[in-house]
Amino acid sequence: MAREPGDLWRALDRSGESLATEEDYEHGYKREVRQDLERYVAFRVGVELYGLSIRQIAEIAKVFDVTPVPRTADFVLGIGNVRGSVIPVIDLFKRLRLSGERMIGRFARTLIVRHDDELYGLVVDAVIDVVTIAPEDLEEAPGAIAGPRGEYIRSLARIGGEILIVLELKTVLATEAFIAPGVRVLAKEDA
Amino acid sequence: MTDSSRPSNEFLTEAQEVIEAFSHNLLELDAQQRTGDYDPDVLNAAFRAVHSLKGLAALFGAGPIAALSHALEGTLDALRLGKLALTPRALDVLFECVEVFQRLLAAFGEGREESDSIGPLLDRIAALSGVGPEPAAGASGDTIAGLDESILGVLTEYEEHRLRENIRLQRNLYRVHASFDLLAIDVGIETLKAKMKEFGEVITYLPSADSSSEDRIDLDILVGSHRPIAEIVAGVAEDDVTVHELSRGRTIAPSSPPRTPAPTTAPVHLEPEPTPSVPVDVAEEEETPRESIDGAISLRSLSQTVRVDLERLDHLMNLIGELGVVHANLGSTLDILKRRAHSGDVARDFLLHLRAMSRKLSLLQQGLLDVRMVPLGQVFDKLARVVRKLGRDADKEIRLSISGAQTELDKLIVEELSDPLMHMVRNCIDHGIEHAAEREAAGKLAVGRIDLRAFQKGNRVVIEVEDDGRGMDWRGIRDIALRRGVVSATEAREMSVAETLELVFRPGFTTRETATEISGRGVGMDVVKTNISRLSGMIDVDTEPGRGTKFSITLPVTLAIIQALVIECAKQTFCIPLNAVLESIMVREAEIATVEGHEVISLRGRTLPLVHLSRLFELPGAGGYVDPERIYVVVIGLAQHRVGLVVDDLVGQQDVVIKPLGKALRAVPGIAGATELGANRTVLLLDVGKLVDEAMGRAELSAPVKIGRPEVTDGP
Amino acid sequence: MRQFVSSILEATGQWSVVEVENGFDALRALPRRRFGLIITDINMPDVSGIELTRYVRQAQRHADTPVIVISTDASDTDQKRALEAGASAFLAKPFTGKDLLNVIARAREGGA
Repeated sequence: MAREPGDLWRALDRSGESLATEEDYEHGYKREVRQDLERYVAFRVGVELYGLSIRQIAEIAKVFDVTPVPRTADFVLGIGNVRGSVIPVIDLFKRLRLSGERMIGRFARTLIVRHDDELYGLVVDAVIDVVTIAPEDLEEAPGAIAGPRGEYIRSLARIGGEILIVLELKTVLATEAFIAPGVRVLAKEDA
Repeated sequence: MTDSSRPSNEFLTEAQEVIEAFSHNLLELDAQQRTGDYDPDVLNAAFRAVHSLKGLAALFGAGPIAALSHALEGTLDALRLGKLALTPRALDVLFECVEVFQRLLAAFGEGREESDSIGPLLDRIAALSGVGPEPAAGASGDTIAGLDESILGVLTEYEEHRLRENIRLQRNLYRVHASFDLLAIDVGIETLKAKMKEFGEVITYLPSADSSSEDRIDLDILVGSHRPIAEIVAGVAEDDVTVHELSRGRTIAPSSPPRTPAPTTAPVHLEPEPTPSVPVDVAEEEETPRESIDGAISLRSLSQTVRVDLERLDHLMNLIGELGVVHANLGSTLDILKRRAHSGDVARDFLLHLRAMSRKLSLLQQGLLDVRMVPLGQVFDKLARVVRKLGRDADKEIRLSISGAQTELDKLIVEELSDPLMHMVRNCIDHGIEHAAEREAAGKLAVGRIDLRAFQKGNRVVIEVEDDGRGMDWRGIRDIALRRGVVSATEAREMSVAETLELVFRPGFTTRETATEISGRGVGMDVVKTNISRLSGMIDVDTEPGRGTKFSITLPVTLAIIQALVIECAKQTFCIPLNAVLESIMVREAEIATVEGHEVISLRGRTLPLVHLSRLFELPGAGGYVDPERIYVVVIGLAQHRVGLVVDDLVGQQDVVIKPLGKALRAVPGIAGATELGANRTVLLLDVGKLVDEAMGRAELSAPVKIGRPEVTDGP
Repeated sequence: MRQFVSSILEATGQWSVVEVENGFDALRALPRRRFGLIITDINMPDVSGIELTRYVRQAQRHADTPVIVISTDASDTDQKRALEAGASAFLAKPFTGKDLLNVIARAREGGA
């Protein structure tokens, strides 16, 4: 404890007097503004870490009751009521076709996301943090990741030694996937 | 460091914007100051603008601008703390600063120094500080009636100043308690803030740790408002939010006497009380007797109408629904009676009475629906008052023209429309319509104009709010959206003008700060849009710079409430539009026959195919009958195409508001939408047309269609 | 200002700094980690530095964490209230890096 102030002084000397002026305080006022940083909500589904831009998220809610909708795909939990609007709620674990046991526990949350001007609820296992990611830290279009889940990935980023998968809502929320496979044919005939 | 290499262009643009914002704040303050009171947020915004300017100027080495903003910052700080009075003279000096800022900035841009010109102005700024305000009501150290010491102890000087101002203005003080999920606090707080702002002034937020959960945070929000507690409570109407009144808006200044309740035989004029040393803003006091006198006409109309709580109407509506079920049961009883011997006369009488009852029942139902319909004029009148008051406050003369006030909509919709419309009209006045001088300079009539129109268009009602103000600058909107990170650079480049204007409806775009930057339109428009979509409506914006802005709200008339039969099946609840229901009957299992593998019953001599909803929808636990002696069949469809839908129970009839399911679920066959049945219970509404088609198609083809249920596949 | 403070702190090589935009963001950040030191401006929109301090003192996790409150002017009332709410030290703007480190050293001794 007593040692520390001395270290601080030494460090300050190293950094030079120029740091310690009122001017710099004003400079700093400006310097902090970097326009292209984007904030992401990081959340866990199964064992992996996923992220969505905070701009896509309208609200983070506790898991709420939904009304099941017949003739929909297995990942569609149903419809729920968010501030007067009826929105579809999906189970992201099932949507991403993840495997393994899992239960919607007490850390589970429903992310209310905005996509194509409509709201959707995504049930995730836990919301971890809000992180800031610079565009240069995002690995775009990971062509290397083949397989069925590749299409849901928009980009990848490293967060504290872990890979954060930024989801592509366009494919995750592709409307044609919502109707149960057997029913879809009929729906098309009708249309 | 990039500092020196940065083009000074960036500084010039940004500084220019800040100066413009500052100037705009001053204009607002000027208009407000003349009415005797001003919005503290505007003063605060002016303070912050100058603070940013100071930082910018220092960064780019614009010495004189930095020096001037430094001096000005001190003055504005004193103003917002009430240590200085916002007099016309003070405003003059502030306006002069805007001029000088602009000159200095131009000089800096051209590489000239103009440092000698600010000396006299700095003196004038310094001279302002010599002028104290009228002694602030209640010297500090006073306790404030009804206010917990512990609250006062954590307020900053500025917050305490605002608290005392609220008391001086005889507002009531409320402590609004809310609890938020930590991660969602931004969103939650924005919503609540927007609501509170409508009622009055948010003085501060007092966070406290919620002992029950690490993920939650409790907030006490201190609000000053003229409105009574009931209105505030009704206004916030949200879970996890409670409102406490801290004190009557009693004053701590001995010079302004506490408001006395008016005696029942109210004299026309205010009691000749000594005028308070600080003039009370009459416009703020909406409930003063003086105001209600010129509203004599509305007093008379009050005596002819009764205000009914919408909930009571809902209750009556539900009772009628239940009567409908009783009616259906009586019908079944009649059928049983008819099968008995020697019942002819009785059965005939019974049938006559039953028909009469049926007629009266539907009249009663229609009557009650009519009661719910109210002309939009109710809201328009309210808006007219707002325009008068706000126009006066903003020192803008505004003519409001109204058409289509007689257009009727369900009460529920009209109620929900009132806030969004109010907000839009307020935006027109605050930011859309220019001051007379500016208008005349632009070759317009000095008197601003707002048009409120309602009309029916097909099966929709359109409401338009149009002003002839300065319009919205779509480039400005785009630039700000870009800077705020609402859109990316690529997106911004590819956006059309219409798409750009749409940005004002995005949350995150419409923050207070942006308000002053882009001719201020679109403050809280995201909230407006949310409210409109809640009614299944749409909102569009159309604008022409310099000519005005038009917002159009389109509401489907069919949203108006439909009558539905509520049924249960496999423990789930569904609604069936009543206009597609021919009748509901009760049959015994023994009455069900099988024709070519399809279940049928005979109804008045005709064969009626049966469809089990639970099997059609593959509902979990779909099995046998709850009670083989009482099987409920809802007969749906049209004359030629009738199907008996087998369900577990009839719950009743109810009026429901149909909500769309959205793009993803719209295509689900057999489901037409959703609705809410009390207690936030969302229920699906069946698409009868499609279900009948499906059933008929299946019957005709006699072939398995899609769901591999045994009773379907064992056709020929 | 924030950048200035964090640049000083980071220059010491002793601190890793988490910056947040405003009072609400601070409220969100606090329960997630243990912080060794909290520095806040007094005048923030919405949740002020005093209120934040009061909150920090209530929350179990940071009850003993030193809190330094910074303000534009050295308003006596604000200073008094910040200290009453549990702030460890008060720093009036403008200040130099040395002022800041001095105050930090004092606040930490007081807190230990």
